[in-house]
Amino acid sequence: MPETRHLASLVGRVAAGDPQAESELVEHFAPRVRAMALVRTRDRDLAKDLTQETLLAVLQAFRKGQVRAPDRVAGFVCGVARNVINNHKRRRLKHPETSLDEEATVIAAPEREDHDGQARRQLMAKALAALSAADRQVLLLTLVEGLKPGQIAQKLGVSADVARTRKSRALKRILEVIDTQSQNAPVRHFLL
Amino acid sequence: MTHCDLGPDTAERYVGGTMSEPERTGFEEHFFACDACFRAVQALEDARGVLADTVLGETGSTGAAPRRGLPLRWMAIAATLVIIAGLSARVWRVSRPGDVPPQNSRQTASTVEPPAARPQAEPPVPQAQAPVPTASPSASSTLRSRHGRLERWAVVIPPQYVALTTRSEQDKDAQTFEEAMTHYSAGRYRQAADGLQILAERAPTAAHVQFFLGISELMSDNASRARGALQRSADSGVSPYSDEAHFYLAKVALRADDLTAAARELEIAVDREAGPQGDAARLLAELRRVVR
Repeated sequence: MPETRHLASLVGRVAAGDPQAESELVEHFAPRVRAMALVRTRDRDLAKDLTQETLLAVLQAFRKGQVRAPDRVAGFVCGVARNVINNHKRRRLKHPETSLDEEATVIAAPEREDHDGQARRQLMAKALAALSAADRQVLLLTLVEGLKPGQIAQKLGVSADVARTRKSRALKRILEVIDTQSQNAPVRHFLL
Repeated sequence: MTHCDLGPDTAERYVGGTMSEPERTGFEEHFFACDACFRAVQALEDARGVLADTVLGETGSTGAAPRRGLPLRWMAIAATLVIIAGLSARVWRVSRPGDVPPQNSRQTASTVEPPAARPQAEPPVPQAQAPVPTASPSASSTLRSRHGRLERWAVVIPPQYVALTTRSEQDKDAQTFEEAMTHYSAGRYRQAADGLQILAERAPTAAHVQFFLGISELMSDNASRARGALQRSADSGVSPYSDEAHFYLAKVALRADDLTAAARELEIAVDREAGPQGDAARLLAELRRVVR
């Protein structure tokens, strides 16, 4: 898999002190870590901070050559991200006053990711606006409320098949819009 | 979008929060390596954010848990009626010429991307390796909370496992160990811990099994199990596992906010030169500074 080999070579270059390789690794993994943190916390600012925590820990490990199985880089970063997120949740339960907000003056999220994120959300808002009200309603209940098709069907007074069809149709349409846009956008990720 | 057999429904269940924890963990490991699924997750999370913004006025940091279960659920149906107008207004607003993107309410001073240069010297703790922080030292030091620092210190970078190739035929236990460590190397710590636990019950004195079991439990967020396994590894007297275990016992103690126990374990780790490249000594120095 070319991407795996490329990531492995980047890790080797980071260990050798190549800052450009660090940039490439950050660029590749930051959106993934951030997506994971966002889904797990539902807090954009916190997700940014946890992404930074993760990337710093990962880079530190790479710099020291602690990752000796570079073909497992993605799994390693994912594991560290989960560790950082769980660590934060655990500490927050113990110390509700604890916040990473205070750290934000020292460690800030990649600004380009912010910019990209805003652009993507604007595009998504347009894609959502183009859906029918019924399809959008199903997406809302699915993604925001976390309801399953059976529950949505009950709520809307339609059959489960209808709810499922609306959901699949809505998902397909918005992903097509994003896909088309991403094909026209500058490549910022390694292609498979 | 690159094709993946999983399809967008899996990403939708992930973003919607309807997956079980093991399924969620498995999917995260998948999308970290799968571009198609990652893009689907990112797009659907964007969609969730836009819908939530419109309906619930979510505008960034809410500090809130996932929305499910909140009394706002009833609003969803009625709010759908508002969505059409809301989305239209949003699209209009964001596309106005000269519109200024919304500013994050926080002050940002630096970025990890891209790192400007490799640090000249190894800093004492991970956060000091943050590339080119531009906040003034006095401001940043006063702003750093004790808990924030403890949180970072408790982060564990799992030690890497390198398999030894032997010519002799492996026995069943060795095969089980290798299978568990395949999960470990891939970041599937829960599965690794399950496999290693079986071995640990069969051979409780095997220091390497106890050591990697402890790390796997630590990465799976089971601190008490991690402590038990690491302590057994430390008590085994089998180097290097008995030495290295003390560094990770310190991490377990840090997660429990037990600074005294953390310092004690770090002292042993420093004495035995355990832990990754002087981390034990650096961490111990920082810890003493805070305790003082």
